[in-house]
Amino acid sequence: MALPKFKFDIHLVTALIGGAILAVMIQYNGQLAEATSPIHASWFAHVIGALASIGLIFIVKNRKQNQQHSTEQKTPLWAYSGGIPGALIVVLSGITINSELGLAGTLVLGLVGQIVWGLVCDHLGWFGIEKKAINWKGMFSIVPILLGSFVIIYTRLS
Amino acid sequence: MGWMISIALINGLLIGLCRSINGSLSQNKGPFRASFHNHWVGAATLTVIIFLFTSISVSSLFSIDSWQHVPALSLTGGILGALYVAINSHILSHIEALKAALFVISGQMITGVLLSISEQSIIDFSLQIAGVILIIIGMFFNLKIKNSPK
Repeated sequence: MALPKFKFDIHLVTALIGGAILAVMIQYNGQLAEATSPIHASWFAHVIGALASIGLIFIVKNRKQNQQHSTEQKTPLWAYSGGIPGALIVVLSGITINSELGLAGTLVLGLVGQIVWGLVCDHLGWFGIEKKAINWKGMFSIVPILLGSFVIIYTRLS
Repeated sequence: MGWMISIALINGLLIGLCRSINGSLSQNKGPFRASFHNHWVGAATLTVIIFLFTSISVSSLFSIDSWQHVPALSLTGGILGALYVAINSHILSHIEALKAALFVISGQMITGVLLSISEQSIIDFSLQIAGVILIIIGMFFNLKIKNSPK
């Protein structure tokens, strides 16, 4: 058997870094939630995030990154609505964390939901994603990643 | 309990929906502008929710007094949030939604283990390493399956 050939994809590394940033962010926002309340903390985090992203826009202003996205194409109004589910997430997780599910159950079921969303989007080609029928071989990667995450979440929180 | 499970699952779907919408905006406006719109719309939505459903007064949110309670370190959380949404929006226009979700989750979990490394007992630490190994196996299969000839 030949060794599998891996094509190095910078976007996968970027995704891992994105996840790492998310973990640190959750840690900081958790501290903020303890000092105030979850909904306060999220409100502050969103306001600071809006200001910080203005800063980021200015930093990359003259770079290729911002220029290659031309605004010729008309942007539909719904594309601006990402913040709405974002805000609902805060409220809903506030409910489930305080139920029998606790933080661990909320996190684990949230991961399952994210993966189901990814499967559905790829399968149906939503949001401009190239249609890609569900391949059951995908379970070889989904199951270990979910299982590993369950183990980590439950050990960290028990 | 059934209700709570459904809500938690829906929450995960909403996380995916939020990322997908921002990813679409990023294709037209770039990842940093997508991040900006995500954050101000989120702040506005939360303001409405706070006004309608909580006893917190909206004007108090904007007072200097309430901002004084925000630990300086936590401000970093907001900055990281801006960066994270930009990164997520960017990758979604380059890799499939499932792959993006799996790799973001992997990065998040492994970093979580690294962050809590000093406060663990040996048993917990071993279990977490087992979790990390499972995740690495999953990522390995994800890369291998895609590249194997049909």
